[in-house]
Amino acid sequence: MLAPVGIIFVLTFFRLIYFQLDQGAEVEGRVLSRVMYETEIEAPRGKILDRHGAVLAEDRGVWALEMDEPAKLRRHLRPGMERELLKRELTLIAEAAGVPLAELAAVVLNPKKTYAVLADDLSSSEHRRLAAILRTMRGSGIKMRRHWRRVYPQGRALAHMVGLLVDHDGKREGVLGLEAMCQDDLHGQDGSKASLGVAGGRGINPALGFQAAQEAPAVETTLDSRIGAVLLEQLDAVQLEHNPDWVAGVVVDVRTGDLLAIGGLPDFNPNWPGENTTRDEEGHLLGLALPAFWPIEPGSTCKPFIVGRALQEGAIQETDTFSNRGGTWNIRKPPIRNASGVPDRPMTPREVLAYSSNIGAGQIGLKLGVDGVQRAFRDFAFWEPLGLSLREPFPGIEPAAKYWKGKQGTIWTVPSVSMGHQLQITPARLAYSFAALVNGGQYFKPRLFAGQPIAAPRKVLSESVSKFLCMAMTDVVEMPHRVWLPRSSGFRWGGKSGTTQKLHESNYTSLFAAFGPTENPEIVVVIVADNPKGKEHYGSKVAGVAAGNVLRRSVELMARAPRSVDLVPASTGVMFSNRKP
Amino acid sequence: MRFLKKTDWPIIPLALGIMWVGLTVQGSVSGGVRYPPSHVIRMVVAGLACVLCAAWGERRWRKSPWLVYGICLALLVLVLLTGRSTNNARRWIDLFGGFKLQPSETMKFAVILALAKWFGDHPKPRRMADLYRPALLVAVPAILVLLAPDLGTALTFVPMFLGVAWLAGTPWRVLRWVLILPVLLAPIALLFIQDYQQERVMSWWKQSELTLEEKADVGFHLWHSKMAVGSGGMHGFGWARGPENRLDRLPERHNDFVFPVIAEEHGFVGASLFLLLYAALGAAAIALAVKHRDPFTRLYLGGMGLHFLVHLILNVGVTLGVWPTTGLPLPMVSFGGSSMAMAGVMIGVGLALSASRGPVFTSRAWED
Repeated sequence: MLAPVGIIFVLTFFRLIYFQLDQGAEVEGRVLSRVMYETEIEAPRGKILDRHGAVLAEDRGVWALEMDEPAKLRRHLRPGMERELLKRELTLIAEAAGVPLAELAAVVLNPKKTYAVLADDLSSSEHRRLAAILRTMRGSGIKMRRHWRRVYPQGRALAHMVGLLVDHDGKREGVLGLEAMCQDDLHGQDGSKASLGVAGGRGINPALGFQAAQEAPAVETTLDSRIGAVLLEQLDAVQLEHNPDWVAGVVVDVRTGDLLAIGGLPDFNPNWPGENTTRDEEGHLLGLALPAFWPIEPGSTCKPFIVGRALQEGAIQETDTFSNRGGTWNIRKPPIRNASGVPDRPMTPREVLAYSSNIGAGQIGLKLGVDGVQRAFRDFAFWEPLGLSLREPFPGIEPAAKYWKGKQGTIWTVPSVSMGHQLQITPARLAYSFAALVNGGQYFKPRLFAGQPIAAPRKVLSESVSKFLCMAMTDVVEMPHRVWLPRSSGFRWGGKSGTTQKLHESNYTSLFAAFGPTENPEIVVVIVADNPKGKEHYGSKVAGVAAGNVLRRSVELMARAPRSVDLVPASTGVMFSNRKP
Repeated sequence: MRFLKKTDWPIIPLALGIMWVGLTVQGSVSGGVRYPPSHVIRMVVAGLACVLCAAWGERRWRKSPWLVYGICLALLVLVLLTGRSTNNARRWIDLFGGFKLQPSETMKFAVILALAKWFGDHPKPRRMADLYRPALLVAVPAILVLLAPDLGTALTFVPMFLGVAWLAGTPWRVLRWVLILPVLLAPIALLFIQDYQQERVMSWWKQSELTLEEKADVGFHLWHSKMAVGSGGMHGFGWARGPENRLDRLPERHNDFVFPVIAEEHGFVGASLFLLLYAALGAAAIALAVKHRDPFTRLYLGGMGLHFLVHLILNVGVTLGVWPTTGLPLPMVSFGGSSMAMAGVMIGVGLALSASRGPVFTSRAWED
């Protein structure tokens, strides 16, 4: 009797030998090829921080619910299952994931579908609940996958400068702003793991190989999220009141060249790009382009550059006077005219600026001469690119060489450019050049990254001329009739408005360049509104109020110790979650 | 120590070795836990049961086979009437504190005890008719177990009956018909078993030609078991590192399919050492049995050895595709508490009986 038992035992043993020693290598290879995955672990992108360490962009881990197994190979959620049981399983998942049962069933029970994302951005409680459910349905082909979601806690504020990501073949790439500029720096070191699948949910098997992903170091910028929020708030106000085609704003620290804030409307929310945008006829998203990099005629904001330079070169004196010629200067046809409200009397350079006299500015331009004007624009870096964005199309448009020659230059070009016509620069460029007028005459190169050294400034004006311009432009704000410009006790500020009529479209570009405090300027703000369709079109009325508000609050915020929590007013639509409310 | 000197102590280290293997495998199956608490509790219960049964004394055991058999038979009836239904089978009775009892496991012990008693009292059956009554002792519980339904456990009664009858001195000319009859009746029995059991037999029959759908359905257990065993190779993946185990691809790996986990993670070296260790326990029990003069002790120990050998051959055979897939635990290694406790009881009773032995047979005396 023991013989048959022994024989069967030996046969069983031989069967084991056959499987493990004869077929072992092949079966092992087959098992491993089916279950071992060399998976790339995507590194979280580095954070983008503002000057106080507040987060402008960061990666957060979120969970997605995925189906990744053909229906016929599943043990649960299989179309052929008992109807009641199947419905119960589907209901459990649908309720936990917050997706409609019918939609879930249509995807899961479709025999042709082998892969689908059933739900994304699951909260941690949803994830926990689903994980518990899926543990009871092993072999359902449904699993949870953790991935990175880029979150922009400041929402729309500074959105153009921070940028956004798009998915290119499963890889996230920055397409705008800092996300695009720092694509390589923000991309961390991807890791990898050789794992035995994920169905078991038991994590990593170190024996198979594991390389941890490493987040890239944070990019620390000179931007200030608090000022960005204020700027956005004021741009929204301009948009609401004057309904321009677009509006842009730039805030610069005149002492260092730090870019503090930049923005424009229409804009977008990087947490869900595609919304809050309009498209042009070719389908381009208008909201993604930053109008602060679009060239405009600076209008009367150009006058301080001419006056300052003329004083600097000794072409004029502070006490010189310039006739307003009855409000019409027939130097050419059509003549140069002053705006209504400019007194018809001889004016000093300070008054020329305060009243924004076109005729006075033209005469000062002629005193400076063709070469002097050209030199002035070059020294104030009108034609230099800022280097703040990959999408800065061009720094400005200078009149062609032929327009500077002979009578063309003296009769047309010099008087025109002296009052900001016949040339174009971007609002961002205007802000940086304007800063050199009020900070003691030093031109600082734009600075966007906190670690970037502050380059030695270029001296373009003397201290005394700069002071003179500050006082003259403070007069602009403090003139009694300009009651609409915001004033507050203990804070003096100045600025220069600009209003240009576009030749072919017969509408206006309204802008205002502001600085403050007058005694020791810290901040320059430029606000530009294109084609305002409200009652007003003058720069001081359309953009001046917003510029003044942004300026005053920026100076206050810069003086205040940074806080990490309540940096952003709720009215800017700041989100701390990327789920839609 | 006196007790250990008197008893067949070689069984103890072999049993402890097997239980240690069981502990490591259950730890691996539990996701890499060194000492899975539930299995440790089951081992302690089995150890206590072993000690208590050994201390109960040979005389008491000698008097109690029919009582034990009756109680276990009653439990089998009870489980069919009131037992908890799991996976369409009524196999467990709920006890206090979350514990469950599987009467079919206790019945295995009771059958061995009853057969040892019967053949001890009626030695050397010469005719077929002499086997009818002991066959009935096996057939009644086997039918009740089949009704549970638990085909695997029911099938283990047949070789145990044959083995004990052979140890009792039944001549081969009688025994061969008992051996051949089930083989001849097997194709007919196929018609009466349930659909899922038929599908399992068919998938076993054409196991090398399974389609993708069959591998995911009726052949799922066998396919993944063979993949696990085969992938182990010579040395295996290492403890708690087997892909089929860690990825939940091997079903019932804590219970009926525990051997593929050993083979996958410890390779041919570990699997063959385990088989030899387990076979050594059965063989040692039988070898010790044949030296005993007392028929009851001899037959009980022989039956116990056969019990372990039959379970080893059937359980491991199923995982290797030698037999059709059927649920049968591997005592002392599998997850089941009843199986573990009854293994402790069986060994304890074996030790109690062997401790009281008189003069032992020499091999020559046995041949006489």
